[in-house]
Amino acid sequence: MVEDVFRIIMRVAGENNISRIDRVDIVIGEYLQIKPSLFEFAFESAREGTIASAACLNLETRMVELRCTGCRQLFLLKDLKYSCPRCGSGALEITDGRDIYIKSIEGE
Amino acid sequence: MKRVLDRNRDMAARVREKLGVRNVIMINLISSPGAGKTSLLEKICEHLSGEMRIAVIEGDVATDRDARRIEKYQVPVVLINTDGGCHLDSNSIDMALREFDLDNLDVVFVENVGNLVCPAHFDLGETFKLAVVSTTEGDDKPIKYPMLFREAMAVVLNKTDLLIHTDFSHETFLADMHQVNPGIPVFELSCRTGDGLDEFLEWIKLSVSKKV
Repeated sequence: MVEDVFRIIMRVAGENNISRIDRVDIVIGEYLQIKPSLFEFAFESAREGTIASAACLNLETRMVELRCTGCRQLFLLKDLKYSCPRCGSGALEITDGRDIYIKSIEGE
Repeated sequence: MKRVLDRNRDMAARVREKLGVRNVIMINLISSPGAGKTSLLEKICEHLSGEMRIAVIEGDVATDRDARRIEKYQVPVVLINTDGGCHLDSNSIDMALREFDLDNLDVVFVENVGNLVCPAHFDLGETFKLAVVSTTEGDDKPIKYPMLFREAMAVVLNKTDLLIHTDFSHETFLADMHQVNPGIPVFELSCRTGDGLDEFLEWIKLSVSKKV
């Protein structure tokens, strides 16, 4: 996963003529169960010897947000209870917190 | 904003389309190492290869041992060695599918790398995911790895013959499973004794014929 992140960072930096990356903001959805501390550790190993070698990583996590497909209730996942708090239905769609994305890259 | 998994997702969509136009079902098997994915595939090949055209993609960190176990059943097998990688991605599946004559297949089973986390992140273009767990792993897997059990279409609980030798709580397992994914079908079986296998194989037949 960190490899994928790095491939995108390097491509975006190349496209924008950035020769030194100072800061990367990444958002991780909690649905993915990626532990931020492990991600940070892998990021620190991956950045060595690249234009991001001194980059500061800012990680933000997003809670899992669900919508009941029956009564349309929108709610945040709590204690891994995948059922609607209003009508009890288990037919849900995930509306947030299932992706990992790069929010911004800063450098010059 | 760049979504990290977009590249994998785009390729998965192309794989799905490639299979869809040929009416080929693809089932992505995910479990811990040693839960019984290969044993389950052996049973599927043994009992169903006479009535449906099966191919298998074996994902393994190293060795061709699993692929060799499947070859005995005279079904086409492609091995993907990930060389330490903890999951398969849609690009490697796209490459592997080129080895098959897709016009003459009904179903492709993918045995993912043994791991309950990363394989759930990567869409391979499969029709659905099948989670496999075994009684010896403990009853806490659904609540510890909710993403997989939410993404899966069904769950196989293997090694029911060993249940009496473990502290596995059936009640906890099913309660957690239905908390994470209400209504998900759970097939309890033993690949070793064959108990419960018939019901599962019937479900596979139905899935392949209905093209769910």
